[in-house]
Amino acid sequence: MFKYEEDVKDLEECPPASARTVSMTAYRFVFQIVEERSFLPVARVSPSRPLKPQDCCAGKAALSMFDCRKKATKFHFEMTKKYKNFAKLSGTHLAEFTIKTDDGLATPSRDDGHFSFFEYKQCDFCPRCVNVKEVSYVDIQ
Amino acid sequence: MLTFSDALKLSRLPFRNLNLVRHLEEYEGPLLSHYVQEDTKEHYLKYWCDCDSTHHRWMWLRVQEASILRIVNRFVPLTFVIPQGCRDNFVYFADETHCGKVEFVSLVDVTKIPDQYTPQESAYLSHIVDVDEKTYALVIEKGWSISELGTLPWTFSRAYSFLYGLNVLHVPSIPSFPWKRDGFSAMHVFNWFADRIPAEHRSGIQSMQFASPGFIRFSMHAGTAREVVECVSQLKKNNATIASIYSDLDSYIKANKLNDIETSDDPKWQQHEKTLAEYAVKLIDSFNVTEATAFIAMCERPFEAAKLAGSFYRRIRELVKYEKDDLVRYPTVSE
Repeated sequence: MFKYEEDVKDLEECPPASARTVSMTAYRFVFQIVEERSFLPVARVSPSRPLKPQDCCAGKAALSMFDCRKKATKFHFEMTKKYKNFAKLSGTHLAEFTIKTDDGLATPSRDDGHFSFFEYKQCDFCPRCVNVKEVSYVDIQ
Repeated sequence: MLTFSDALKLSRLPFRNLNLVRHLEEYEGPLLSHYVQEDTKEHYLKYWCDCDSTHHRWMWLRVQEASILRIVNRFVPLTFVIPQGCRDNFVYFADETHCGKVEFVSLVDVTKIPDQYTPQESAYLSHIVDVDEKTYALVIEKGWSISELGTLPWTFSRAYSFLYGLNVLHVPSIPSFPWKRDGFSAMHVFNWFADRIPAEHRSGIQSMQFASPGFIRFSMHAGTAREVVECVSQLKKNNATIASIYSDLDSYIKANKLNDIETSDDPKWQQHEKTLAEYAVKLIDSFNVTEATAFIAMCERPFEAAKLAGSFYRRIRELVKYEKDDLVRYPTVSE
């Protein structure tokens, strides 16, 4: 039922019990051309960074998303202060798309707007992306 | 990725048996991680710098444990440690392929680290929520005298014992001590609280680095240690209000010569009990870490509750003074 179920079948509580269906507008960092690899869990992106066992659930089966454009932009801004090449890792653009209740499960958003999304098999966000814009810090400064 | 023109190329990183302590920051995988070398117990940071289609580039630097406490608790910006806090004149850049396999290593002089590979000066680490629940570390910020070296941990552990008894053990009652002016009862009641703490949460010094910055790591129940720090923070924030409650209580006891009443069944107590209980509740409530009415119920008499609340206040005041004098910082997060 989940897109990456095979990858996490041995993990306990994956997705976490706190994950829920949602209907909302969401945002994700992508590169200018939105393609299949823009919506891959980090463990499937090469080169990958080693994950610790407790991160494997999200790393193997979830996508990082944000519940608000401004919060996503602020997050990108703060991370770029700490890691100047952060955009090379996360993406230079921000894509907006809708999540429907039959797309999968979302963890509760953190204060900074970040949440993890576990896609169901049939879910495909790529064609739904609108307003793919280069991340601009003008709005938050 | 950038090429290092005058770096020394190495075939591998020169250290092995590094154990991951924790990732200090992550976004879809680690960005900054703390490692300890198994044999030497040296502390290393692994900081993400760059990537391309085949490699991630990480900076490895050897740092003091106290430096990590400082960035984790947001006492200083990242640049104080990365790279300024590096204990060597050089750092290592490791280019890793898929799943962390190191392919290229460069040894680079600290002064020649590309600007692109260091944090901005105003950047702080994000808040970390998960903590080690069995230890708590104070950050030493200045040279301490021998007496300060003894009294600060002692005072901290007294306040800790009191809150542990109230909030973790929920002691049903606190025994009666003959409260006078000389501090005898305060000493005994705090010892009594300390004696109640089970071995796994009893405060002790686990490790210490006497330097500036340095640290003292206590083995203790971290949740209670953070409550002590919360009291310090409340007193700093509301000093005038809390100090005035204490001062009013102290004046009330002196004006009515309550320290001089010899027996606990003296009829004079009756007229003071309500006021003393109110002062004790107000004082304990002002720290916002424990249920004041439950505390009053644990004490045999309102006078003892008031004296104990006053004693606790004085210990927190002492801890605040250490921080004001720049001798110590109280982390809210312990690595």
